[in-house]
Amino acid sequence: MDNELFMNTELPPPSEMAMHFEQPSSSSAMLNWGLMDPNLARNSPPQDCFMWEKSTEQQQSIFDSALSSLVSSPTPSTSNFSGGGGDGFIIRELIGKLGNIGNTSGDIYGAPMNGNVSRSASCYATPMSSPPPMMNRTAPLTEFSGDPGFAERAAKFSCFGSRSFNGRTNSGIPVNNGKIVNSGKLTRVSSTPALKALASPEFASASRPMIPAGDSPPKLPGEFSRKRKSVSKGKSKDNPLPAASPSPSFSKTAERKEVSEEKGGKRRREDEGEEEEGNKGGNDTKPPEPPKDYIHVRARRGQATDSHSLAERVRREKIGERMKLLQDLVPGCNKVTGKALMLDEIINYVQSLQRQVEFLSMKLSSVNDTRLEFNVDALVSKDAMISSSGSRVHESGLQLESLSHHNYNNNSQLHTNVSSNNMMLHSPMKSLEPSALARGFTHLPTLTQFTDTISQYQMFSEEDLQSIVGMGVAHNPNHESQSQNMKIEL
Amino acid sequence: MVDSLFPSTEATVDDASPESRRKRRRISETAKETAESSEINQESLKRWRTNRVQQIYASKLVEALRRVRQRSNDGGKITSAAREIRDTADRVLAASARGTTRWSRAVLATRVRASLKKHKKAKLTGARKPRKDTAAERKRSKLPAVERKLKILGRLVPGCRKVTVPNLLDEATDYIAALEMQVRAMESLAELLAAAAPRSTLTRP
Repeated sequence: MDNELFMNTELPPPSEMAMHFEQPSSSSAMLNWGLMDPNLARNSPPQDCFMWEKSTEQQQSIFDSALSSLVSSPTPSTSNFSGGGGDGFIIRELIGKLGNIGNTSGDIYGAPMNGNVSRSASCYATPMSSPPPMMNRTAPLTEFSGDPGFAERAAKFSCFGSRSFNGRTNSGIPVNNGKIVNSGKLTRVSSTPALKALASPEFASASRPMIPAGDSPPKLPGEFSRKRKSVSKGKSKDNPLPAASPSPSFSKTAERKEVSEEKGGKRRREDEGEEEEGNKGGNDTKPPEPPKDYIHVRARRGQATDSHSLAERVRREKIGERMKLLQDLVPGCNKVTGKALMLDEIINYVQSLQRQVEFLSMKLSSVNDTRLEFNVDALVSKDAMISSSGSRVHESGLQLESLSHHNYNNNSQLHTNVSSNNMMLHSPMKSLEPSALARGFTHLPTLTQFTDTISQYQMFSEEDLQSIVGMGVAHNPNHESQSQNMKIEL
Repeated sequence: MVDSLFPSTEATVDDASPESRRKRRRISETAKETAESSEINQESLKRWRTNRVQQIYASKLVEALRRVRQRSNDGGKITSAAREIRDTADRVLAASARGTTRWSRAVLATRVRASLKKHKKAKLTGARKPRKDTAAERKRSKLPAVERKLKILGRLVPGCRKVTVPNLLDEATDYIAALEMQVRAMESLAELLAAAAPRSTLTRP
């Protein structure tokens, strides 16, 4: 439920929170928290919000205890954080505490503040790292995704709280949220004082029944849900106004994600259409061709804002992106324009690649039959040496040494020679590696490399090796003619 | 950026979604996939070009070839190796993909299915009915030329016949990159083998 949601906010903390930033239902909650800050102590708003959001009594009690423990030691937590956003850290630590609740209900009291703080701090300090203090809550994670309002509230609270704290200069700690998300949020927040005003009265009233009123929560969420939606609509309109590029995409993803999960595909598109209209109305200041993010779908001026056409445009854009990638991949597609011709080229290319594979497999089969096993080993080593890094070289060397025990009638001497050569060649191969790597797979100068390395070492079997090389070169034309014939056949 | 923030969740969603969840995927697709599509494609392009992947493929290919040769030598049949080698190469390629793409899974699955069908002697060619009036049909279905070509592409990429268009293009991208790597690896391998086995060819009559 909401508890788990809130706990899960810690799991993918910044990404999830970023995604859920602009979810409509949470903006109001965020504002609540921000607005309550001036009125109340720092830690009380979270309590209120948690009270409101919680649905189960038991968890409420747990929250109460957690929050009380948090409240009881606000200063140490703040002192723990030296950098900016200390208030945000408090909130995160609160979130962390709530996360603890999910894990072990009884551990709240025992959980050390520092531990929570560090964990939550680490969670937020490394947004990209997957957050793992509570990894066993995979089930709640799905629920979390299903009801992201809480997460969004949490997310918004963290940055919003810091913003409001900054405004109040209560703690005197400069809000220094290095994350893009937070800065984006901050800008958005700053541009929406109206929303704050809108939300303030209800929250001022709501802030009174602060603490553990189990009965108040059930009533409030209903109001808040309604208000949230309206505020969220307003917020979504305000999203495009600030020019932070990631934030609109965040908002759009969040909106879209949340709405899609709440309602369904069709209705999501309709909502998008509505929001697009709202955005379009507010976008007169923007350039007529608003920058399109990957996810952001915006109705351009003069274009239909129909949900169907929007979805169609999204679909077309996706396909266009992929076609562009394919264009880069398939040689000779640059001159071709148009999907049909490009698809023709792509089909031809795939067919030619498949034919090449077939032909090469035939060639390999012929070579497979005609040569003996030691060549495979030598080839493995050579292949590895040519196209591998130093570690692989050692592996291949070991492989060669192990395989050198295989002695074949005709080529035993050659094999040992080759193996010894290969082993000897390891060190020079390392020096040649950069060039070897560059050339290894692109074209096939393996013969030349082999001869070069061989010439470096006056091995006693050099004449044998040279004969091999010579015969290989001599035989290549034969093979190549065969291959050409086969190619013609194909 | 935005893209980097949706890495794991996106990947898991894309990988784990079976056909039944395609609808839900589409719903949440726009939010996630459009951000991830370019990243996935670029990443797929890059991953088939790394040396490490090539090494892995080359070594696995050699191993598989050796096994094939051993099996053929034991069995006594030598000449049927071409298709076997191609199948082994495809399988090895698909294995290198680590099951993240549809075509790789299909390639690995068809082998199992083929071996089963071999025992059951199921008719594989009976499914396709010959199309006699292809000209008329072509005229009839001339309008969605792009769609026809997409269907052809879907037939070419293994296991992608009933796949949505953007996914098909994704799979095709990955498949092309993988095929390129396969061709390069097999070419170099063949060259090495040809170079290192002149004596045996000489000794053979």
